[in-house]
Amino acid sequence: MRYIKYTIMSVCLLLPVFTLYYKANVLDLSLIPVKASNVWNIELSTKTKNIQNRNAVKDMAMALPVPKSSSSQVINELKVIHNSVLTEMVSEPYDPFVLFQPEEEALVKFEVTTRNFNYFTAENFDKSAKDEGDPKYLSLTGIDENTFEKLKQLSDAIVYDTDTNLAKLKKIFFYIADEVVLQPSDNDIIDVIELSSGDHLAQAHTLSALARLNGIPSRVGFGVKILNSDEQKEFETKFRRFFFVESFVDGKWLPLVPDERLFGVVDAKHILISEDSDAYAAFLDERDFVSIKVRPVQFDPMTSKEQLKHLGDVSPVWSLFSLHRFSLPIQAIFLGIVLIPFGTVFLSLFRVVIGIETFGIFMPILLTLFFLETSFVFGFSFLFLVVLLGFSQRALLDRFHLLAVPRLSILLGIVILLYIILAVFADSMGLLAVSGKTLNYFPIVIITIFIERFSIYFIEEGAVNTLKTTVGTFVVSTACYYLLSYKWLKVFLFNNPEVLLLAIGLNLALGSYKGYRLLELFRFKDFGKSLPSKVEK
Amino acid sequence: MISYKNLKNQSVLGNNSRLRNYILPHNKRKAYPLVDDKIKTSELLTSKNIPHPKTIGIISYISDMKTLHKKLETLRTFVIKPARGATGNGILIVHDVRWSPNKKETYIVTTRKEDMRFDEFIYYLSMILSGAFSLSGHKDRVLIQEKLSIHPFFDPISYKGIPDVRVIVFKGFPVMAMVRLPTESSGGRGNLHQGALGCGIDLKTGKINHAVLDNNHVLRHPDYPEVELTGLVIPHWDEVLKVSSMCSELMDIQYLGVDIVLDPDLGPLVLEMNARPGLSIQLANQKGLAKPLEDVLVQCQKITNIDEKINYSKDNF
Repeated sequence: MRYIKYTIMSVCLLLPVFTLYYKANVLDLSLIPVKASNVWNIELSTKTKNIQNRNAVKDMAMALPVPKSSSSQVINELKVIHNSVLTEMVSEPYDPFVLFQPEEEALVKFEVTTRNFNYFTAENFDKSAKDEGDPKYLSLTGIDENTFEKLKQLSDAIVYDTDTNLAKLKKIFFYIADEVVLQPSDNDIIDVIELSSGDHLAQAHTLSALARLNGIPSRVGFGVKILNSDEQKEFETKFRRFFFVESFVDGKWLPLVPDERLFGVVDAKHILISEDSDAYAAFLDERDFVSIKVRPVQFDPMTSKEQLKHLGDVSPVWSLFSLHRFSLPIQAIFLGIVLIPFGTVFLSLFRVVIGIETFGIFMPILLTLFFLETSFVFGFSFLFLVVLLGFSQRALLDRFHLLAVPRLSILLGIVILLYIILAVFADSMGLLAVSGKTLNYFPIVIITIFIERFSIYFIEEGAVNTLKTTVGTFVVSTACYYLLSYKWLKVFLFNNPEVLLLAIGLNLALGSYKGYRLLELFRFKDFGKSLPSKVEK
Repeated sequence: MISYKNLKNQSVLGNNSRLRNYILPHNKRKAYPLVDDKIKTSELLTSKNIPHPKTIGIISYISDMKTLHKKLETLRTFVIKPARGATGNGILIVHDVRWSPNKKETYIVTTRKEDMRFDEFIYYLSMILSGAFSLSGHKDRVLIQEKLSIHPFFDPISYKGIPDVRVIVFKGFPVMAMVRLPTESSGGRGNLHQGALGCGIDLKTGKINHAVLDNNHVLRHPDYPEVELTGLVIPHWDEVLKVSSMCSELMDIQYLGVDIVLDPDLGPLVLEMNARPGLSIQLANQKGLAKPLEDVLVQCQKITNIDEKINYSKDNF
């Protein structure tokens, strides 16, 4: 029997190690989701003028001119967070696209996740080809006659003796890139034409206008550039706004960034916010301010579909066990429960090695789930109230001489009332909204089991022991809560569910532990010491 | 705090070892209800002629209580116990009853401050039946037993309640023993963690050799400081050991705690048995359980007779 146990234990402990080694070194898969440094979250925050009700906010989100494509990064996901308070607004101080008016009312926060995208893929090409026919990319309206004349003269000087559109565009591009000086105070096309100096936007507009004049569809877009470490030191920020021109030549859109001398190629450091700044400006007109915040994405941005396909290519066998095959709601459930077996290892450790007493066996784990389901502050304060209720109910209900079942039922009624009161309170304090958690039946089920256990324990063991056990239960469930909120570990186990065998192996080992519990060292602290010489009272 | 090594050297039995080495392998789960249910225990003891408090009656259903007034009419003292109550919960000791043909004028004198009306008494019994005191709230039965009197030996050293002797028996060998003396702070209860006094007993002589109160060594009972405890000899000691040993042969529970009360006339009576006896007995004796238990595992192969087992224990533990 003993050998069987040790065999199972070794299999449980060694198999996960072997599979992880195999995946990492033979299949060359990433085990821990890599921190994708070239993938970014962009948060756009905007406050809308004259907003009447909150519900309209959601529709507005759709009106945001999100980029359909970019040279480097493409929008992966657009999320709207209602009524969030902006804690931090990061941007360049001179950015004309950002105005700071941080009032909370009708503030909308968009979270945009981008991922890598190749500018020249066929997919992008098709989409761009459609835009090309749009006459607005050839229009020069908005430029006065005087400016138009001077623009024409400049154009003639630049593109003379050139026949193809591509060659013309190159000449225009390098004129702007090489001859025009960066001067933030000059913000008009005319400055660029006459003085050969202008800010980024004016340069981009001039480039676009010159291209349009020569029959090349063009548009000015803007985006955010992630700076390298040297630039970060220089500008004291991690990213800055950049303007660029897209021109349609030979059946494809080419990205042009004159101040960086990038012609037709943009690397992954450039994130496009809008490919058409005119449309974006129109969007801005309806809003008080827009601020942009960029931060790196924490986790592997691969979607489950891609993940599964990649796994299937590398190893068809492993892809069979992948939890990515499930729909997102089911995945969310697995993501939630995948750490529970390790929570039980924690629990066993606390009980067997340390010697902390808890209500029932899985009560602490259930309470942990309760905390996770609501929020720690809410869950803990609710539970605290329930414990107070548990202690005080005896004094009151004992006098009424009630039978056990109706008595417990009354307790449950009070618990649900408490839950309602606390939920209303938490909602009005904004506690629930901030944590983004919702309430459902699940916590009530857990508390029901808790209050029953608690009452029985109280009757059988008395107040002091109940208090001790309550504290023990809280300690264990709090510790488990912090373990189970460890996001990376969760994602790691989700990607490698066979590691759960490790939890079984560890529990087998803990179950075989025969040594003393830590708290027994205190219980028997005076053991064997000489008998008292002093006589007590 | 004491070190792991020191504990081991003194052969202290820890909770994990108690469970893994003794309770799990030697106590059959199936036999637990026999000791957890006082009515079943009482029936078992009766069938093997082991002395225990006499059963006056059993109440299984609410309907049994209709005739209760008539049945109990002749009695003045008795004890009410929930059959599956744990750690003495729900036990009601009746000192006297002022019977009257009219139920409304019948009063019951208990350990409580105020006398109980008969309808209150009936309510109390129905509480027991509905499972208010039973483990995990299951339906329960009421056991009515004769009230025990306290042996005069305990008069000067025990506060209220009934002192009992706890003997740990393993495979028929008495391994360790203590006497539990209720105190004022324990409210007359016999559990050490509730504040009762635990006194270790020398197995050979039945002499009290140590006393522990709340984990501290003491020499005297806090409520009766005039008597020195060490050296007092428990009466009927040999019978106590014999009865305990017999209990461990009743069922498939070989690591057993036997609680014995001493009656002035009847001698040792088995009050109840425990399949998961605690570890405080080591504190009361200032002696570890691990070594004697390991010794028993060797000796039980050679010694099969109860008297020889007791003699071996007396000489060696």
